[in-house]
Amino acid sequence: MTFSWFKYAAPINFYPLAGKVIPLFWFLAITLTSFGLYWGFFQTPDVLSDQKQYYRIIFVHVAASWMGMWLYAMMVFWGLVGLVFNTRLSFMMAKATSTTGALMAFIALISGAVWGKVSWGTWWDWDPRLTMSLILMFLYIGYIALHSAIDNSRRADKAAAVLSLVGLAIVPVIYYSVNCPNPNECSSLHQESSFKGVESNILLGMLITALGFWMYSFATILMRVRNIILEREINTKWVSEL
Amino acid sequence: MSEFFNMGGYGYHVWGVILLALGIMLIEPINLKLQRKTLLQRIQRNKRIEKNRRK
Amino acid sequence: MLNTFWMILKRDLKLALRRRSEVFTVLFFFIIVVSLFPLGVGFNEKMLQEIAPGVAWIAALLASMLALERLFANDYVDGTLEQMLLTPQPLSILVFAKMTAHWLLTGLPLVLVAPVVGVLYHLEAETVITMMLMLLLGTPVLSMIGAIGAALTLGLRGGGVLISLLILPLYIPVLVYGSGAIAESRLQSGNIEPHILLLSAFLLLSLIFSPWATASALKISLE
Repeated sequence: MTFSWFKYAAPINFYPLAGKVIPLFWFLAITLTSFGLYWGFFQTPDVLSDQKQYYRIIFVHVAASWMGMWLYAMMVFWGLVGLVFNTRLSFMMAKATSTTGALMAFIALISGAVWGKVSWGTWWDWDPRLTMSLILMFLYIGYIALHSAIDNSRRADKAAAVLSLVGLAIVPVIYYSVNCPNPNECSSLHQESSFKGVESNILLGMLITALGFWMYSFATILMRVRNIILEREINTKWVSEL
Repeated sequence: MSEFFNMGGYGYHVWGVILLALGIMLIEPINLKLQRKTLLQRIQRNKRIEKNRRK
Repeated sequence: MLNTFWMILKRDLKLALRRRSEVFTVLFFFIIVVSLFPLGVGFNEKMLQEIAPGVAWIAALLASMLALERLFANDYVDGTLEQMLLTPQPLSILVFAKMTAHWLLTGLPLVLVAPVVGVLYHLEAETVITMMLMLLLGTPVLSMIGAIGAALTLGLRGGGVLISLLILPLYIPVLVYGSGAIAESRLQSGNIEPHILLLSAFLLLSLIFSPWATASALKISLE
């Protein structure tokens, strides 16, 4: 029996597939996140002195930050696929990704600000990382605002996809300009990867929690795309027979 | 135990962030489930209207 | 192709000059915003000199954005824009001509008005020259990137505010280096060469990519 993945590009086939997979993702999300946080809270030794217990925040902050960034890339990817192949489902995936991504960016922003407060003493600092989190939030908000401002869903999908592409193209430029506002004083282009000096236990906790957030994102995005399918395909026969 | 909650004086910060994150991550799926229920109800209602129209 | 470019450019300029007040509103908006800051933050000379680069640029960003709606709105409303899509001429050329007209009417005046900022903010002549140069390099980029936003939001309600939400984050690199150069030029040992190079690079990149991106966005909005 020949099997073609392309059959799942049709909403009618993707809908039940997604439905079957969602519980699996939830299971993975809950187990991984709980384990990751457990690991972060109990297994990592009090590396920093007792006064610095706040570093537990980092597990949530890093996971949410990564998700914020990765989901934006995913959103752009699905938009691009939709623009090139003109498939409805890809645009639905892009739209579904946007909300979860925005929420992740929001969590990253707030947790980052709290992290800043406890480690540097200020709720906000215009350092490159926090500034980029803020800009990512703006990009998500722009996407969602544009999408909801356009009534025609075809036009909305395509316009938002183009916007997200332009955003992605400009993000490295923004990053460079925020990192290096005065080119005369930029000693090194590459900031040292902040993961070099991290103890392996903490790193493990971060990774597991991040994976848990990934699973969570897949679960909610698939749930959302199923709702979008129901909404948009409401006039089709297969939906009315559900 | 209380030391666990206190987190060396940073209790509010740590637990605040955790609550925010987990809170959002709980409300989102609940919201989605509600949305799905409404959509399914709408579909059922449309079906009924169609059937009545046919009669 | 060059013919088409000139034709559209002349047409847009002619149409705009019939409603000369529209051109001046953008200019006066810029001047008003620039004047509001000292009223809001105080008249300390030293402080004004320090915030001048940022204020001038932000006012330029806002003025540029205000003018963006006008880029396609009039042609959209009377159907000319659809005609432009149907002609065999490449849409990018038409769009580029419109962008150029737009910049000549809303961006270039800002460059010429920069000395006013210099007076209000107690800037040295050299700083004002730098400001004019950076505005000259940067305002076309603003017009071009902004055009993409204008094309995407064609005909939508909430137009102006929506465009700002979409476009302002994209303006950040121009803002950082444009105002950074002016701040740098105030220092004794300031070297603004890298800033000039960067802004020129932005200019070149937008010249290459934004007519095409704007044309795609127009096709999406006019389907």
